[in-house]
Amino acid sequence: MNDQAIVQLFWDRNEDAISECKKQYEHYCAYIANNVLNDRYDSEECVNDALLAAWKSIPPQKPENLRTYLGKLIREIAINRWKKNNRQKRSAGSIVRSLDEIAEMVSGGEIGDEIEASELAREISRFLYSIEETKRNVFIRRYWYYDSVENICSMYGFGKSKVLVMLKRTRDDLAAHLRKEGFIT
Amino acid sequence: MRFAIGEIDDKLVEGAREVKTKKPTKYSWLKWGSVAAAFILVAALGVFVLPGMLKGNDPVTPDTSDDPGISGSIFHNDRLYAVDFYVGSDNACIVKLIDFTETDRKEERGKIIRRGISTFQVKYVLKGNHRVDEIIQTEDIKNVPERESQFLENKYMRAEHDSYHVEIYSAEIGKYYYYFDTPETVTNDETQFKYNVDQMISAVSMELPAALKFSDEDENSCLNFLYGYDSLKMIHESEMGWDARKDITSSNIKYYQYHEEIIGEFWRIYEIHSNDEMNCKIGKVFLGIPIEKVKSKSLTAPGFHLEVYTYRAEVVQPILNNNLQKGVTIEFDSLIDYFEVMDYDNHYEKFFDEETADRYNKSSPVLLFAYDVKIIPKSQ
Repeated sequence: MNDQAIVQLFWDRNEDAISECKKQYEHYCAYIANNVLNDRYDSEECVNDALLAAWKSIPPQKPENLRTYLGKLIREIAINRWKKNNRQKRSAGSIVRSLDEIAEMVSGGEIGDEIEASELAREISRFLYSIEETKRNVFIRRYWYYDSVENICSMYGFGKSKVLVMLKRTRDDLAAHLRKEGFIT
Repeated sequence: MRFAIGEIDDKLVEGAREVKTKKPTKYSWLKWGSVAAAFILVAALGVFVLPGMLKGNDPVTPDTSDDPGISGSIFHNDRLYAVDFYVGSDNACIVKLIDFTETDRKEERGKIIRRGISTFQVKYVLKGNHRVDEIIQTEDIKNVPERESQFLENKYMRAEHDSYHVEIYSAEIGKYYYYFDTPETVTNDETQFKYNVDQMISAVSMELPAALKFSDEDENSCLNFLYGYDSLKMIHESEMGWDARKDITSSNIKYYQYHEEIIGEFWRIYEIHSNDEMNCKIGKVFLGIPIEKVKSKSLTAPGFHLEVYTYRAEVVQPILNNNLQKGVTIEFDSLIDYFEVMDYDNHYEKFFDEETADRYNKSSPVLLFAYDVKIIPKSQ
């Protein structure tokens, strides 16, 4: 069943939408959740939460790409779960680093209150389209899929140093770009 | 910011989903690498060792200057060696061979020690720490393959600021000394930090030539990437009780084609503080012989100060169809990039008071130098 058909099931309030969705995208969602949480059981719960969130949000949403739509949901759900799990402590791990690295991009400045996330996302997308494909994909693997650096090394056959340097440069370039465009003041 | 990244264009996310893994193409680089290695060795021996030998094999007094005069790499029996040539006070040569293929690690009293391996007919082996005032003299050894040397003893030696490990082998006509820098002062079984970041960075940077970055990403680049090789030995687990400049943890070599030349870029990766997985990566180019130390630069950045040397290098590692050519000049031009990569999960607080730990946590850099490169073809 393709995405459009599944989305139509959601719109028809047909509960098969959930099972179809799960059948097709459970593994994908669990992968992202596990990158964040590093816990299989928590990840499974997040997948269920994401499917529920999809049920609640479609309609009115009508995503063209259901996989990415679910990916966005699972990212936020997993991060929230991770925050909840780690409220009392600052644990180490890939996700902490990833979040720190994202935060570091705006260090020394701030994103204007009036700037909407969607506007900022468009500018980030524009920047990502402008850079070389491998760098772009490594960046997205790290900060969208929350893959660990080690995973990225395995995926691309790169050394750790190369990935770290590539990410650092892209972050710096993105930060510079956002400053130039007035998103970071 | 995190949320905004989550909202980037779906096509970007989809594009990154399918990873197109780049597998390095298998080139017969080992074959020509060996040829190149042989050439480098022969060239180096010809220029530096032979004159010394002809002069009667006098013991060499190492020059106490800070940097090796020459660096190169050698492939031999499928192993990768780094070679540093130090010019002695009588213009003879001291050769330091380091096996990068399988960096031997040995834990002893809280340290990992780099082990040099000699396989060639090396006249003099290994200079000690360049910052040790004590002059180390090695006895003359000729034509002694490693297998014919016999291990005698190892010991630590300490100087005012440094300690180093020595392994002594007997050989046919004398002793064979291996010195291993352990730049931290050993005060007890638990290695203590005695160097600040400035000093550690300085120690490492003084030892190695500046890094080089080829502008290979430029479509118009005349450099055509051929092959990359990683001998990774990354350590992901923190190891306690370790100190500065523990060892080389991995090496990486890339080869590029430049017209009819093949040139190599070599990286070796140091960990400065293995306790916190911090790597100091300093690239090193093994193109050939730095024939001229062009200038030094002084860089000051928050947390540290560096002196950086640049070299003019002549390619002696050429290599197409076994036609050895030389004469192309590589000029290390302006420093185009110099930055630090902050690492994570530093644990300095285990070793320092809070204030010092905080300072180190903020200032521990992973250094990378990138130089623009000019390649000047041999004049016709």
